[in-house]
Formats: sequence, C-alpha cells, structure tokens
Amino acid sequence: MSMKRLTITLPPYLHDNLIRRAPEGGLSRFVRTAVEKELLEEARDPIKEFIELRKRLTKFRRSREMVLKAIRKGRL
Amino acid sequence: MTFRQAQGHGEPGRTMKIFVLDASVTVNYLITLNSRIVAEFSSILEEARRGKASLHSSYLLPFEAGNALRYSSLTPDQARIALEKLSALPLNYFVFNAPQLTEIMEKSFLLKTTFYDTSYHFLALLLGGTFLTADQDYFKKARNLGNIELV
Repeated sequence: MSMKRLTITLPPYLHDNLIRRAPEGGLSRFVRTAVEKELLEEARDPIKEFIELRKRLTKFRRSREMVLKAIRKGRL
Repeated sequence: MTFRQAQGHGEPGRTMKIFVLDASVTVNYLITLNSRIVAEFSSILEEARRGKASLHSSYLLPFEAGNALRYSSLTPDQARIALEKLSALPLNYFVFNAPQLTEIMEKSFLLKTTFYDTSYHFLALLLGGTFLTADQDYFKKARNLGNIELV
C-alpha cells in the first residue's frame, strides 16, 4: 500500500502524551490506527451493516423453530 | 455496550416508536427464508435508521443471541460476524432492579412462560413500547398483556 506523508502540529500536552503512549518505532502505525478509528467508525452505519449481513449468511427453512431451540440449548 | 437501569417512560408528547427486541427476532431476521419476518423487521430497522424508532433490549440479549448463533448451523466464522454486527446495533440495553425482577417472576408464573422471555416483555411494558418476538408460543400465552407483536 503506498503511503502519503502528513505534517501536523499538536499542543505540547497532546504531543507529549502521544510520544509516551505510542510504542517505540511505531508512531506512524499508532496514529494511523487512531485516525482510522475516528474517521471510519463514525462513518459506519451499524444498522445498514446488519441488513447487509443478512445477504451473506446461509438461510434456513423452519428457522423459527431452529432459532428457539438454539436459544434454549443448554438450559434446564 | 452500556447497560441502564430500566425505568418507565411516559414522557408526554413523545412520538418516537419504542421497540424491545429479543434474540428470536434478531437472529431469525439474519437467517430466515420467511419473507414476512424479513419485511417486517427490515421496516423497523429502517425506521430506527431514520430516527423514527428506538431499539431496546435486556442485557440478556447478547447471551441468548450468541447461543442461538452458536447452535444455528452457521459456520463458526458466520456466527462470529453475526454476533459482532448484532452487538453493534444501536440498542439500549437495560438491567433490572430487585422489585422489577420480582414482578417479572410474578408475570412468568401468571403467563406460564419462562423468566427469560417474560423479562423482555416486561421491559416493553415498562418503556411503553412494543416487544417484538418471533416466538409464537410466548406470543399466544402473553398477548393479552398487550405491548407485544409477533413478527
């Protein structure tokens, strides 16, 4: 994957915290993960993803009975 | 996932629909060939996406849904991703206090239903919402209490 370089400025308290928390030699990866989390998770639509998931799963006949039996499996 | 103490609603002028979901409807939706279940629950999910409905459940849901997925003949990967996506749904999860648990017990004896199932219905009654379930047996026994819809 090709990368692009970015220069940012941070207030001292954030800079010091970042340097302290990021693993040695892993500053870029740490920042990338934090940015991914902020940008990509906010854009996620969990309901839409749940609806989309349905299309990818195996479907079953008599699922009503199967699901109820599965919920209760292991109970007395 | 955070859990709240269940409390009654009843705010005047509130127009958003309130739905309480159980594992039977959420898991069934994912794996059923029954188009009616899919259509009805899809409609409710879309309402929630548009902010016209709010979704709620008891803290029990992830455990019951997890067991349902575990023993539903899905592959381990499918079961894992299904639980992940289900757990990410914007549901408000509730826990019950001692008096509420007692009331659930009383209702479950009265209805001859399980404590587990009755707890979801109790939550819907408390919130002034509708308990959505795919459990036909429970629905038949408990429908007279109101606030319940069979999907």
